[in-house]
Amino acid sequence: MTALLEVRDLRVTFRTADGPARAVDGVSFALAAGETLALVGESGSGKTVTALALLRLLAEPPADVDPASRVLFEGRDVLQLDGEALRRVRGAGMAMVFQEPMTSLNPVLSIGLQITETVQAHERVTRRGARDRAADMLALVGLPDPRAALGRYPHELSGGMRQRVLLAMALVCRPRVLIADEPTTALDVTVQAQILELLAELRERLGMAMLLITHNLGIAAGIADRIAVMYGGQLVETASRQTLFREPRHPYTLGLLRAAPRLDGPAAPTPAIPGAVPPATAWPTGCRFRPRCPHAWARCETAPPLLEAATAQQARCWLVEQPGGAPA
Amino acid sequence: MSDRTPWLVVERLRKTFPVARGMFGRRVPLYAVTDVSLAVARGETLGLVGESGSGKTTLARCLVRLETPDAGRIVYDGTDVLALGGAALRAFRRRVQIVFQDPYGSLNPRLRVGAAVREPLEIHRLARGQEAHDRVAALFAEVGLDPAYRDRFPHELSGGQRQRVGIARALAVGPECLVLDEPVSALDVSVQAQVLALLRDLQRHRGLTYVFIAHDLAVVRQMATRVAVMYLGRIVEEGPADAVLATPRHPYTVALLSAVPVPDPATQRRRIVLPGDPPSPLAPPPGCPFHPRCPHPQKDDRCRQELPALDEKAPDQRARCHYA
Ligand SMILES: Nc1ncnc2c1ncn2[C@@H]1O[C@H](COP(=O)(O)OP(=O)(O)O)[C@@H](O)[C@H]1O
Ligand SMILES: Nc1ncnc2c1ncn2[C@@H]1O[C@H](COP(=O)(O)OP(=O)(O)O)[C@@H](O)[C@H]1O
Ligand code: SF4
Ligand SMILES: [Mg+2]
Ligand SMILES: [Mg+2]
Repeated sequence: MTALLEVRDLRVTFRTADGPARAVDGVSFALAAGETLALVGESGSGKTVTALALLRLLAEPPADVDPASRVLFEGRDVLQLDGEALRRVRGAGMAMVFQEPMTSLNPVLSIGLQITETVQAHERVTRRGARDRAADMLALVGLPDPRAALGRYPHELSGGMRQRVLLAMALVCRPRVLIADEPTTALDVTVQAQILELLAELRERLGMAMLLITHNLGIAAGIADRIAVMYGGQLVETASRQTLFREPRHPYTLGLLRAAPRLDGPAAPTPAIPGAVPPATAWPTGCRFRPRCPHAWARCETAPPLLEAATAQQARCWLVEQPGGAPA
Repeated sequence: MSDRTPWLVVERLRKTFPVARGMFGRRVPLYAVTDVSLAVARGETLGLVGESGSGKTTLARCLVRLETPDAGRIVYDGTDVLALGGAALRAFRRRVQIVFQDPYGSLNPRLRVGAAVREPLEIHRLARGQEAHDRVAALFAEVGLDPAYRDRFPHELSGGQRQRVGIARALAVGPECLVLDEPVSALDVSVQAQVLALLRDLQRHRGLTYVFIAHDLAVVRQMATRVAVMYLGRIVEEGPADAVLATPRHPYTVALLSAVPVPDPATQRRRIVLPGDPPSPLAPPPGCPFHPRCPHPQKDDRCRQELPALDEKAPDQRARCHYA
């Protein structure tokens, strides 16, 4: 299986008043055609910055992308592209939808105009052709009466409908990879269910790969092929979704799974992870999870690399090499 | 719960907001809370769930007299809350406090958090000087905040710490009842569990009564003894938490529960995907408010015309549905 998208050692640092914020610090992963990878983690772990970096959407400065980082899309490094080549990747290559559909739509332009402009920015089509494509896309994402919807404005739509419009805009150039950053977080659970259903359906119909960013392990469990858990700007565990839930190897993954309140199983209180995600300007030395980890011992003062824990499973934790942890 | 002597009783509460519509700013009523009746026993936790816009916050604000309902009654420990004024109202405010979702909105950004917790003590003339200082220290300890944080500003704290400040501020006046409006919704799951644990401890030690609002049913399941489900300003189901969450009767509750993602690939359930969005509270549908989205196989003209009553469908469990 060759990778459609391969990210190698991505590093993004922000210059801030408190010093450099190492928001993304050595992230590597690959996405195969048609595959769905979920990037999971609490807020501040670097998920959004990772996604923005893949599409070169970060303002530099204040962001600083390490020159040694690679984002290979179909073998070409997106970080080295510009102009026309970059535009092509952003249209038919990779497209993105964001969490807050209101802020990513232009409030004073009609839905139709916004989608046709997207088509025309990436492809040579007539206005009429672009409009037809826009209407087709709106139908595909389930907007009732798509022709009439072309003339409507974002504020006239509900949150769920706006998210559908954003999806239409992202998909209109038929990208091979959809990057969805918390696409349902701002929505109510019944509307979230609609959008998740739609994403799964579109993924099948269009055969696209998906990088789904979420803080919700339940969403990842329902839709992902593989899951990458992010903490402190780094991946701390990657595994197939079955393995990750059945045999998590990183204490953070386990802590997250245990902390999540759930409707199945006993209604007992769930155990918290002590402390909070530190700011990106002050990652702890050694293992970044060390101050919150129930197993931390002397060895954890040295930062662990991602270690092979099992077939197709990696964890950034010394327990992988030393399952008993601290020697007695 | 064995003792269900009502302590906080809400009867047929209604709250509309006049909102401007169309040209000439004609004002029409927005039905935020309609005909809500509830009873909460002392020391229990009523979980109030529903999607955004269903009227949870409006109901919460009515309960603590931040909002004046158009009709209905609120009785707390035998007192008619809506009739209170002056000193009696001030005394009521000490007994029932509200905690908001993100204290960022409710905390003064220029006030150090120690001073923010001290403020209610001074407003209600409960303590001053060294005594107030000591009370703040005790409150910080009680909610698990490092005393060194007293001199910090709200933006210098994490979300979890800010919520602890919000809770300490509410506790300062020694309330018996807390109305918690989405107290953990803005927090990450690992921190959420910390704040939920704190709320459970406080309830145990202080014997607090909670009205706990959340849109996350799994969170409510951990906290509530009873659950009320709101839809478009009305209660559509109400009963013991385990009954409502395990054997929901109203089609809306059934769909809502089925839509919550389960963090386990092995137990993926069938999602009931409701069509459309909740209707506008400016023009609630006639008949059953849920009928435009309802997947119940027996849905018929009666649902479209006649408002179902909130009837008992199982022992102590009520649902507003003709066919549940
Ligand atoms: N423009 C910026 N300037 C400074 N720091 C930033 C900027 N954008 C993000 N960060 C920091 O980078 C870290 C990761 O942020 P983000 O990728 O948004 O996390 P997530 O999406 O996982 O919640 C955070 O600590 C955040 O404060
Ligand atoms: N001050 C207000 N003026 C006008 N409409 C309001 C006001 N407060 C709330 N509403 C409306 O009342 C309805 C219920 O809102 P709210 O109680 O905040 O619901 P919830 O807390 O369940 O999300 C919504 O339609 C909301 O827009
Ligand atoms: S009354 Fe009718 S429309 Fe309303 S929930 Fe019951 S079956 Fe559905
Ligand atoms: Mg993010
Ligand atoms: Mg609310």
